Amino acid sequence: MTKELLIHIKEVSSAGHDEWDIDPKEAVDFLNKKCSNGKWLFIDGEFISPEEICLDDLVEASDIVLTNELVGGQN
Amino acid sequence: MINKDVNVLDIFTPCQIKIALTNKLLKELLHFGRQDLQNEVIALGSGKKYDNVWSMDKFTPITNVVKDAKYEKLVNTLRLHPATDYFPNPPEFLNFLKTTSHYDGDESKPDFVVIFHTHPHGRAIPSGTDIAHANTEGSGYDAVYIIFSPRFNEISFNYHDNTFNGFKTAKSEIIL
Repeated sequence: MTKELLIHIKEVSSAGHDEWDIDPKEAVDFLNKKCSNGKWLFIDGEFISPEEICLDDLVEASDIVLTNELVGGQN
Repeated sequence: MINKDVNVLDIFTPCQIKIALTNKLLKELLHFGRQDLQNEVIALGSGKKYDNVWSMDKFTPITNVVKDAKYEKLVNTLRLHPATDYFPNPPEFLNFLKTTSHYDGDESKPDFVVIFHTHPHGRAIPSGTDIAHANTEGSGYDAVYIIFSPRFNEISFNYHDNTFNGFKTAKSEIIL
């Protein structure tokens, strides 16, 4: 019997935190959608831009975290 | 006491949230905010949320990397202006979050209570960029946004509940 590989993702927000276990085939799309909606992605503590998300990194990662974005300015 | 050091702006409808910090910590925050009179500086405050009274016990400076080439593409995507905006160093930001209950619900940790940044050239009023990002789903935090203008020597305490309700003016209590 083989164990199904799932990508574990944690999302931290003001409402608390959520966790998902996602099929690798869906994980890249899932993270891309999150990042296009203002989330920041960290893989093993490293900030990853949306265009840098790749399945190999997700499979090898031990810590995948989404946070709310934080930016601002004076204009 | 606070008025001796800096003018406090009331901009929005008042809300019930009160942010409490010591006069010593406020002075340190103002001193930190005056360290760069060209670029925005950022710090994140931790403390405890007791119902509507939040105490800020400590602040952690975060590097503004809006001009860092490493983040240029994302800064452009977000339509930020390197001369006037801020983009906190993401790993420093994550490390701060990990020290708070915000990260994992661990109530033994301090809460994430304050986002401090400066407007070196402008008034201490939330900018269009501040408002737009705080009001955007997936962006911003349930926190008191403290804005300090070294040029105009004024400060504002603005609460945002991380919904679409916009900023409200938080009460400030300076503990002597």
